[in-house]
Amino acid sequence: MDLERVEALLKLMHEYGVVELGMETEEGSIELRLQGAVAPVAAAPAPMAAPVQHAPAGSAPAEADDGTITIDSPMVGTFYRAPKPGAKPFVSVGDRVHKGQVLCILEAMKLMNELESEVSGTIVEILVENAEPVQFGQPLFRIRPD
Amino acid sequence: MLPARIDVARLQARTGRPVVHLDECDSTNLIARQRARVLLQQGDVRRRALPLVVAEHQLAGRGRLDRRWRSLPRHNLLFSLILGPDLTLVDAPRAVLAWAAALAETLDVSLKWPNDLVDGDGHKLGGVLAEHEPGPDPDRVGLLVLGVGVNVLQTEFPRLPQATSLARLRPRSVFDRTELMADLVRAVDGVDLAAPDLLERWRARDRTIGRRVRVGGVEGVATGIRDDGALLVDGRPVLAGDVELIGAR
Repeated sequence: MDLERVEALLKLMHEYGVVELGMETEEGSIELRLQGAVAPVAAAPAPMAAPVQHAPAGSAPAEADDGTITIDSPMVGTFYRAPKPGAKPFVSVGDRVHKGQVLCILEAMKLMNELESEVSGTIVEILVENAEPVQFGQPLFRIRPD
Repeated sequence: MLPARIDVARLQARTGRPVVHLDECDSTNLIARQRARVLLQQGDVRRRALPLVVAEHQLAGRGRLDRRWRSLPRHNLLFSLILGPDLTLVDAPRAVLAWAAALAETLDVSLKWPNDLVDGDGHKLGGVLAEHEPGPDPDRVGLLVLGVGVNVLQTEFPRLPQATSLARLRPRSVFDRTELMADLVRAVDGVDLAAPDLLERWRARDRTIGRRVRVGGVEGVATGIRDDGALLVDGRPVLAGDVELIGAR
């Protein structure tokens, strides 16, 4: 692997706050760790495309070891699984969802925010109970992307 | 005889916004959200004139959690503003409180957390329901739809003992709905979201703090609001729910 490519990777790691990155390509394998990094923070053994999936913070999907991703809350609010009490939930475990599909409503101070899926895939887990308060960045759904 | 319709030309001239005027619709928020989606697909929303959607009558006006909002045709104000503030989603709820404060000032009424327009006794004459339409960045506001309902000329509210209207509050006043709506829209558009004490105007109109309240299964004294707009009940933050005032101030 040439120096330019390593530099580009280091830059991406900085940008996305990844402190440790291991990678295998046809040219061989490489492990990078940023200086001063204490412990790897959610450093998945990342495939090449991983950094571009890590948009900064909030609702951006974060990839886990098992190939699933979490959809995280972009705001502090109350989590609703359905458009109104007693209605059918937007999604349930096992449902196939497409990118842009509404997963839940987050309400804060009567501002309703329909959270859309960032990816197409299958709902593996719903991590929050209906009507529970959620924090910024809190994982709400686990999805296995297609 | 029904009251006069909204004067669209005057409303456009006074607000500088393109007006979508409907005799009736399911909900102005639904129409405004459809418009917002189209605008977001076209891109460059911060440089466009954002519409104001107005209805004389709503068939399925919605409040929080899809609750119905009843209104007689041509009696009240039902409108949705599309707003494109350059904000993170985290900061958006505070903006909604600031806009609600601007509405309350214009009508010279009070606020019940988070954005109910109420009289001095806590009777409700209006409310706000804000909805977010996501843009390209999941952490920032795409467009916001601010749905506003204000009871103006309607004086009877069967089975709604907590409801009131401007006509009930000020029986000797004459109300021009077009002027009133233009004043409200201009007040919202005039809010400086960068102001350091954004929530001061809200606090100045508030009827909630200091009262004993019941909200979302919690009962206690409303002790204040947090910087993000959350209501503090005995110091604990509440983010959503309908506040019931249960004690004297």
